[in-house]
Amino acid sequence: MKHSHTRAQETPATLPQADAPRLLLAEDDSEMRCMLSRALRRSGFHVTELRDGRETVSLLSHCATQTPEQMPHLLISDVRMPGCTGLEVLAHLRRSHSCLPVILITSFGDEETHEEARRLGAAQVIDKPFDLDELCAAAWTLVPAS
Amino acid sequence: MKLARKITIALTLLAIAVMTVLETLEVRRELERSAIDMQHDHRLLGHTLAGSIARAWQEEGEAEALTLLDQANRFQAQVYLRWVWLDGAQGHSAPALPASLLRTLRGGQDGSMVDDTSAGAGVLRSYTPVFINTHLGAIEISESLSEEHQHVRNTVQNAAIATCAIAVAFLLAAMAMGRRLVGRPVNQLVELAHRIGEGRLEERVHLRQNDELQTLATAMNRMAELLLTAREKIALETAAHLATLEHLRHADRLTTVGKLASGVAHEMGTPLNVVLGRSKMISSGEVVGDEVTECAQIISQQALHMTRIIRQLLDFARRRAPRRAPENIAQLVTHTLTLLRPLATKRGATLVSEVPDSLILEVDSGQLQQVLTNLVMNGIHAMKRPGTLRVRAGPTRAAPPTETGGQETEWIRLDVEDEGEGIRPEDLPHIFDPFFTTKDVGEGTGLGLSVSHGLVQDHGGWIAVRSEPGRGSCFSVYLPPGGP
Repeated sequence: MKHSHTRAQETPATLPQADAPRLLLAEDDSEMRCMLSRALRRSGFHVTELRDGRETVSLLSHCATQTPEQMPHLLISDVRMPGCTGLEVLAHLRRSHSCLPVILITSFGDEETHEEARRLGAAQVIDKPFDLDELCAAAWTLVPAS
Repeated sequence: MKLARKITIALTLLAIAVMTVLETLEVRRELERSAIDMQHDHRLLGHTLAGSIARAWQEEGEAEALTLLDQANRFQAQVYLRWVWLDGAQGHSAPALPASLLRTLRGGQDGSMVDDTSAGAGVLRSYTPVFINTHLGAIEISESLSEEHQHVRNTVQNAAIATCAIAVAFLLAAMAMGRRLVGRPVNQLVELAHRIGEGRLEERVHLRQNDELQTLATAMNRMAELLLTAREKIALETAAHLATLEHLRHADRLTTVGKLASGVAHEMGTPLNVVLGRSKMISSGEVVGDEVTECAQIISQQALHMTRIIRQLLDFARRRAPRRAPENIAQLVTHTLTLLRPLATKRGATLVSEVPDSLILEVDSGQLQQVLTNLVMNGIHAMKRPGTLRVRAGPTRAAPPTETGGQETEWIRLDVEDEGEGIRPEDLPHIFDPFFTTKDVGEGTGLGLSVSHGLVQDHGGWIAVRSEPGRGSCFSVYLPPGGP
């Protein structure tokens, strides 16, 4: 059932422009990741796919040393992932004083998860299953107008 | 026999005994008084005649003197007088008198004796000594005691009748009083005790007397009141306890439902989203040609995945009782491992059975195979690098877990031991919870161990686990040797 995470990059619906907003997508389910990536690219984002929490934290730590032009504009992360949950990724970001907007997607949408996400400053928490257009619209509202 | 009747009869017998003793003493006293009176009368008569006889004997001779006695005999019939010589003078023999009486008479004093030898009730003989010249004679006065004895008999008879009459009257009065003062109140108290025993705590008893039984009645009434109060308190507490229990059960049901709902939502959310997204891509015309086929395949895979989750959830919810039959465990294990070998080989895992051929157990083969499949699949998934998974079985002594309780006894233990990554200590307490899983999305539903745990419990056993992170885990299934 799992597919290679590079498949979405190989078959983009539309290629994003060079100055497209940079978006990090953390999702462990390959099908879900592939589909989300495709929809977000089509919507105009430059998407970097990440397979689990550890990989996400590692990339974010690396980003901190990069120039502002290379910094991502937005992170969309699943909550439940092996290694490190979306909430832990968010907590890591806040500890490193990053104000990167974060959208969490979860199918374990209990009140405690929503509460914890709000406390850690998640821009939005979206429960699965959701409409892809809805996610893209929410992502665009968090990207700086410039 | 009732207590009141016993006391009454005992008192009556005591009264009869006392009255008999008193009557006996009274009769004796009367007899003694009568004897003294008779002797006194005899003495008076004897002395009255003694002087006359002595004088007549000296002046007119023996015949005249004895004529006086005959005349005296003619005038009264109660006593009989006659002359006797006490020293055997004139050729007469002396009467057979006791030596002490003879000594008294020879000393010139009067004396009496009761002659029992004669027929009838006996005779009182009194002697008044008279000296005729130098010879000692005596006037013998004899009086029958039959009248006295008749008097005694009458007295005793009257006393007995009076005693019996008094005793009967006493008995009747005592029984009537006993029934009224003891029997009836005691019956009322006993009746109250029975009613209290039957739970009729509102019953009371009211006695119209001022004695110990009234005190007992008051105490029993008070006891019934206290019991009634206690019962009402217990009823209230029980109702509150039941309400709390019901509340807890409701809360527990809600927790279970919530847990299941969140588990289902978690497992279904992602595949549903994929189905939704892919179908939209097709319907919107975003994908064309081979991509449509690919989307359809992905939708099909996700639907199958969701079907599997729902089937397992239903298996979990609709657990049936095991249908036990003697099963060769070695064959069952071999069959299970054969089915799972392709999956194991794909992941570089080797499956080994070390179960003795002779091991036969009364189990539901389908359910035990399901348990083994779950445990072996978990082991295979836990082995990220090549290793060996062993299934062993054999007898052992063990005590059931504390929540089940029981003594240490003989069990059959089936071990499924892998060389995987092991389980984190913080995850160990949750591994049997429904929907708890540490596997990647799509690899497990979190129901396998929970279902296995329930199936083994239905067989009267339990599952234990020991694990060492980085080294592997061993799941031990304990089953009763001959079935429960």
